[in-house]
Amino acid sequence: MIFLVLLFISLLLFLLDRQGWLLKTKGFLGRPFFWLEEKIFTTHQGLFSRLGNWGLEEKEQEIMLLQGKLRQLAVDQNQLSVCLEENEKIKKLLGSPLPSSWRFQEAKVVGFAERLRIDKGSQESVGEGMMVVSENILVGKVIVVEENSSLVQRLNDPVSKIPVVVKKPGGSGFQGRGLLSGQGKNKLVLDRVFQGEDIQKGDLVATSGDEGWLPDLVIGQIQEVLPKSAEVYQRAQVRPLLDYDQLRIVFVIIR
Amino acid sequence: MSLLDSLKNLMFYLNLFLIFLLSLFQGAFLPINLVLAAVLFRTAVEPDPKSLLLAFFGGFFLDLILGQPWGLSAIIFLSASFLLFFYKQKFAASHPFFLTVFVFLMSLINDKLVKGYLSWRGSFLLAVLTFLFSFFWWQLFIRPSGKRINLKT
Repeated sequence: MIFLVLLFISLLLFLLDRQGWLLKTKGFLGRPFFWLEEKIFTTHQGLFSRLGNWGLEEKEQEIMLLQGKLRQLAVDQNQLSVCLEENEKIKKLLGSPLPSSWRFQEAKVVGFAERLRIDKGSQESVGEGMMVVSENILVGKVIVVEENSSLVQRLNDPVSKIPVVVKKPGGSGFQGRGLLSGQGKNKLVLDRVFQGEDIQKGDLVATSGDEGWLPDLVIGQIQEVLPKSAEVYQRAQVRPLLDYDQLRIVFVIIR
Repeated sequence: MSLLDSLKNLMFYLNLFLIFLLSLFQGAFLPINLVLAAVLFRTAVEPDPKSLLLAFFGGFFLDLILGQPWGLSAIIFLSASFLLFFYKQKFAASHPFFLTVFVFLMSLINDKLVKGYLSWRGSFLLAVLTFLFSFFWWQLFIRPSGKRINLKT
């Protein structure tokens, strides 16, 4: 009997939530839990970073600093090539407007389970489908929005699939097009790139602008092109430029 | 109310608090579904109506903290607990091997329904933790004599 009662209550909650009738209640009830969650998350990150740095040689810390600078260089190279292309287009089409409607909403990461939880929601104009970036590198897409928080699907999520382009660092145009899939834990695979397209280790992978994704957002670098087979498409391992486990502050692109 | 009943009530609230804490940790950083394992373990060890209540609240806390649709995890946890409850007459549900396999399968089903994909590594890790915990629990509390363990009661 108790099973049926509890099952009925669960089904009722599920249906009401699907209709969107529980949004305000979720926001109200969730607030104290998000605060607790954030405290636990911050403590966990602080503890692990202290343990991780314990015994770390100076040179290893220098390597981490240099890796951060390399990430920034990759982003700068991509932005430079985008600016060069845009410059050429402007010369040809005088007065053509550049997209200027992008606004950035800063958000703190407060939870790190399968998806990132951030502390901004519908109250701050965050909406479903909005892109999330960090250091101008794509992190993921907002998939669930509540009043005061949102859930972000990261690029390494196994259900994530993004149409991308492959570019030479510092070059213009792109070498190839493909589909980037998440494989969990900082692993990305580039697939559906035609065999004839020239992709190499070190090439940058950025969003193509198709299927609702904003264009020219850097994601990672090709780490290894997998051996060619008799198939139509070639594949590559892509190293994300960001360590998703270390994210603390991100930006939601509000359109 | 006798002392035993008071102790049983206290244990229920302690279990509820533990499940709440696990939900918070799962929301903050834990990649495996310890709430599911805790709920199923409790049902296997003490198959009473209170374990169904724990399953409901465990699912509710998890949905609230992870931002999942309310009621979804509660439905899954209730169904899994009910299965264990129903089969307690046929199998020793608290036996480590049985519970491990059950937790592994339920974790896979939960991941498929909630996230849309099967998380083999997470489910395997959860199963290993369940086996270790239930094995020691079985050795210490359920199997006091040196009799051979039977899967069927």
